[in-house]
Amino acid sequence: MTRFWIGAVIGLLLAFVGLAAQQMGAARQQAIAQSAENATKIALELASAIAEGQAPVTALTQSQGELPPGFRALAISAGARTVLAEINAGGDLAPPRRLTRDEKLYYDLAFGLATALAINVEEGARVRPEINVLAGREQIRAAAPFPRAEGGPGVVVVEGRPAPPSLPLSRSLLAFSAALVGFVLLGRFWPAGQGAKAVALARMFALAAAILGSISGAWVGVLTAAIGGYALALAIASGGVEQAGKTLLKHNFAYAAVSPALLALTLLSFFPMFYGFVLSLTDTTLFNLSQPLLDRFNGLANYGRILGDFQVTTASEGRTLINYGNFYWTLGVTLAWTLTNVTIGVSLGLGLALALNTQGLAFAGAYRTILLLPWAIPNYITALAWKGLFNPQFGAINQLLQAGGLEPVSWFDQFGTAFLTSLAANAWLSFPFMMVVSLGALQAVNREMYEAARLEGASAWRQFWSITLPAIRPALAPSVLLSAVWTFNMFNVIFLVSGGEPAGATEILITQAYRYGIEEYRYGYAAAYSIVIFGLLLLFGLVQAQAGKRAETAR
Amino acid sequence: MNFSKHWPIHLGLIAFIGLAMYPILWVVALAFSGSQDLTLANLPADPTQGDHLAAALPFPERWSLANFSGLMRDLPFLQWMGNSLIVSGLTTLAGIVIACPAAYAFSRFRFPGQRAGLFLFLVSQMYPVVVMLAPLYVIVSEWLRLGDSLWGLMLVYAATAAPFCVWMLKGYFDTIPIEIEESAIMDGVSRPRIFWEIVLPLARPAIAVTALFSFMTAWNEFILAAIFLENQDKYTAPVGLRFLVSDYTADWGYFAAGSILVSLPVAALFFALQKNLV
Amino acid sequence: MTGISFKSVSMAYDGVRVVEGLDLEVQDREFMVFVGPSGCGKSTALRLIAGLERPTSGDIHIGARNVTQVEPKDRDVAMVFQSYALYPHMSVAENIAFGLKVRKMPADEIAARVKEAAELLGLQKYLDRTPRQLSGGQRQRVALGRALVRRPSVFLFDEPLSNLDAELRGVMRAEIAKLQRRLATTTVYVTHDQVEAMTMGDRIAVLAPLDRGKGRNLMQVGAPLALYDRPANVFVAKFLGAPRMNFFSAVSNGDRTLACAGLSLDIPTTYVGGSALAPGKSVLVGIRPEHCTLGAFDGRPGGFVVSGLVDILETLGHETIAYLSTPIGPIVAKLPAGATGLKVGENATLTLDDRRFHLFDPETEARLAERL
Repeated sequence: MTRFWIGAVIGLLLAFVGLAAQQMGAARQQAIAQSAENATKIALELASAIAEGQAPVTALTQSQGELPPGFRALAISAGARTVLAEINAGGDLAPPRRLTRDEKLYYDLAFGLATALAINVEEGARVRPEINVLAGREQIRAAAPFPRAEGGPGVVVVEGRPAPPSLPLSRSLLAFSAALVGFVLLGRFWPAGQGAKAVALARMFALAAAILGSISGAWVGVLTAAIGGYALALAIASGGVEQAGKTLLKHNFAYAAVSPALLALTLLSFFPMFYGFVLSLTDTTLFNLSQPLLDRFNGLANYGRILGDFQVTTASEGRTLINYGNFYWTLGVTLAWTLTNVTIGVSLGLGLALALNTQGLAFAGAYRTILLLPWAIPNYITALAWKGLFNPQFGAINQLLQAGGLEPVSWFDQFGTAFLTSLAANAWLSFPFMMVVSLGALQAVNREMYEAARLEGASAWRQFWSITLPAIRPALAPSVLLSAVWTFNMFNVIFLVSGGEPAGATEILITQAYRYGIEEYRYGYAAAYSIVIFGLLLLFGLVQAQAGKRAETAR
Repeated sequence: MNFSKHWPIHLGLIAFIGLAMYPILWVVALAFSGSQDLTLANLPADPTQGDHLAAALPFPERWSLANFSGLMRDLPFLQWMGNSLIVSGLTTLAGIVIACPAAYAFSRFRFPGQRAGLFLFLVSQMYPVVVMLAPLYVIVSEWLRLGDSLWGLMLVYAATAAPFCVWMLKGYFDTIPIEIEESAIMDGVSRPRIFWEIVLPLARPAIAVTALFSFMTAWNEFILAAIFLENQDKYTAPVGLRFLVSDYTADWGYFAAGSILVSLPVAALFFALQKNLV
Repeated sequence: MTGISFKSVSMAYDGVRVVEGLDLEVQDREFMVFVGPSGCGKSTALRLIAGLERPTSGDIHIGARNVTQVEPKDRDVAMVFQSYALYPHMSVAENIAFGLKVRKMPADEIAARVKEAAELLGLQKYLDRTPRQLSGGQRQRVALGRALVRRPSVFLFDEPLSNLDAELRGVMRAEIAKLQRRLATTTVYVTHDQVEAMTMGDRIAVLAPLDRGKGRNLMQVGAPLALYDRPANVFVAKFLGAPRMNFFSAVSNGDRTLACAGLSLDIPTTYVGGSALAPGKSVLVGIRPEHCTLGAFDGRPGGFVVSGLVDILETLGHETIAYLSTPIGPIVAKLPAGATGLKVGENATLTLDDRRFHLFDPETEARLAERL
């Protein structure tokens, strides 16, 4: 019990240290914001100078603002010949030169800002230069466009790393003294006896945390170090580490053998999963990535917005519109997509397998090989080819329809037809797998059962329902479930064939998560969406395992 | 072997094959048409039904290798193929190298964390990579500084291939009688040496199959590559092919020719391995 | 001197106890057979000697050395496995040489030893083949060769013949026994087959699963015939001999006779008596099928005569096995070939040789005390 209280006190102290450190982080944040503002001002100044007709280099040299140390300014005029002029904080001037390959970024920036400007003009808005401040992790980049009559758009960029701000002394002192108190308390009140090493370690960690906290201001690191140290100390005190060490030694070969795979997986699989989960509790987007994680925290709001929005339809001017972005619509589409695909796949596969399984069928091997072809071709190629086949203007399918005297169909303009395009592509992709599985299962059925059934006068239809189907079901069931999961996650087909057209109506969950995350840069929301998908898959897996267990016990 | 006996079945199968092979034939025809158009015949301004039919039948108006040569000449297609080969090869190598010992340990030893480890490997298989894209992107390009590099892509592929390799190989190691290893222990062989000299040689066929599968998976992967690779020179074949028929370009002839070149090796592998598929 | 001794050895797998308090000595150069039904811990005991398992408690000595914590490779023992455990990717010669190569023996000596082993086992023609190209018996010989080429101080065999067909098993049985006598190496041989146990071993250790051995594994150790003639308990009595020993219950009258189903029978003179044979005490009586003869045994008092219905007759040619239902319970008798006049469904009379009775305590299942 005493140990609990001591732990609680130490934990509180360390949290206090962390908080103090975070305050310092905020100070640093403020310094960055200040630098960004400066940079923006200079960029705007330079842009207007150039817009008034001065040559970039001249404008740069005559600039009124002062570049903060560690910054440089660039004037880029993009076009047939993209030219870049550069000036450093010290006032050194470099002659204009061509962009290098690594500087494609600036080219994109120039065109992006120019396009935004053009749209503003088109829409009758006031002509107003746009400023982009990318206060990235360490880097600040402010960009201002300048219109150029000849030679395409131009842009002024001011970028650099702000100098680390000096930290308020009082806060450093506060953090340090808090840690010192923790250090002393740990030594005084730790129960005597076991765990002397642990106490020493915990004190060292508390001290290290304090020092780190007072100089760096990277509060995450401090907190992790402190909590880690505390946990380690507890583990040592309770003999856990010694135990773990013995276990490690005893099974050294096994652990050594597993660790590379586990390391790779931890870094590139489990950690992204965990990081995704953390992101899902924030409102992170591309634009606030640099803020401290705690500032982005918004609890379960993402989940609430995904799962709590039941407004699948909106009534508007007497018409009922479907909100294609609604989670439940997408879930419905996904389930329909999975169900129809599996049904088609199993029917086609089983039908073909039954035909190929005919006793004494000539060329059965050749048929089988040809029918496997769709499986052998990479599925993104298949998907792109079907996209071409369904091309409304030139696609072969509309050509065939017209050859038959029918009207061409605008496949991607309605939900039903767009869904059909993906369905066709996926059915074509997936029937060979079910065919192979069914054929294997059919060949394992004991022929004597059919002979016995024939002796009893069962019709072929009857034989199929009463003998074949029950006999192959155990072999087929896992493959059907597997193909259901595959279809549920079949990103490529939806993404490349229907592409979610029209207006996201045919998205399935996984492509929708992609759109939110990669195309709309809503990382937090997309992460929550992904977690929901994972939850659904897990649920499916558990239900399936339970059903499997029940079937086992029933047998 | 009597053809006439089963004629309805033959008829049905041939009809289905005709239908199923149409997309493939269509792509082949596009590849050899020598043009970038989706239609296989020129559509006049006011096409008749016959013109439409000609545009859809998988026979180009004239046969030409222009698309193939153009692909090599105008585009860095060979480089894309080379990139794919490098990434897939390294992925396979890395996947096998880290999966073999892990699978062996999971198969042979009882140690604390063994069941949990296996379960984790299974879970990571269940979690589709697409939904991890954002965190993965941050880790690979921000932390490891491997954005827009084949190395970064290879790392991600290897990590996603590893669980599959571990499960496949563990399944095979489980079938190797433990007495063989015990016998080696009695012969005085050390654990690492048993693994290296007894187990790995015995598992060679399984390793080959696993390797080929993970090679094919990497060779066919599209979306991760599309996100990680920005520079055209670094594209893998899937990204390159997609690039040819994206929203902005429509080089269908090049796409078809490239598709054939990309598919041929994997299709050949596929048919070589098909008895191990299920 | 390379005897093996178990000193109160216990072994549990994941908390399931398999071997408990085992005390056993194997003499130098002895051929010791561990025999028992499945689950009796005989293979575990063997693997404990090999070092493939470590005991949960107790010590194992090989020769004068306590090897309890010694690695298998340092114990100087060789083992032949049930599945032979040959390395499939190595030739016969490589298989035999592997253990020597690992021990960094000079190549010429390895070659000499492999040649010697191959000659001894008749494998000269097969040295370049892989195990897959060999028959079961040949694989068995390779496994033997692999063990003996190392010239260990102990041989361990784990049911080496159970994968062979009946004929080959007989041949190999004799061959292994002969080889062991010739090499005079301490050998422990595990089998569940009582024929192998009886024919091959200098001594047999009968082991029982813990639940059937009342918390112990070791039921009896001794020369094969000693165990057969004088089983120390019901378990050993039932385990050795086919068809197995008949059992029926009786009650002691106190005057060196037993009462059973209204009949009276004499207690063999060797039994000491004492409290176990006090009046009113129950006794479990065992009699081997070959000690039951057909017909009423005249002229000698006390021959125990029972009559019963013949249920089944198994005519084997050289002998006939009769299964009878009698007032004292079912009795199996091994009768000479032409056991005349017996018919299924008719009555028959048997005489049980009272000098051959085995008496056991029904509670402890232990043999009653005897004066020999």
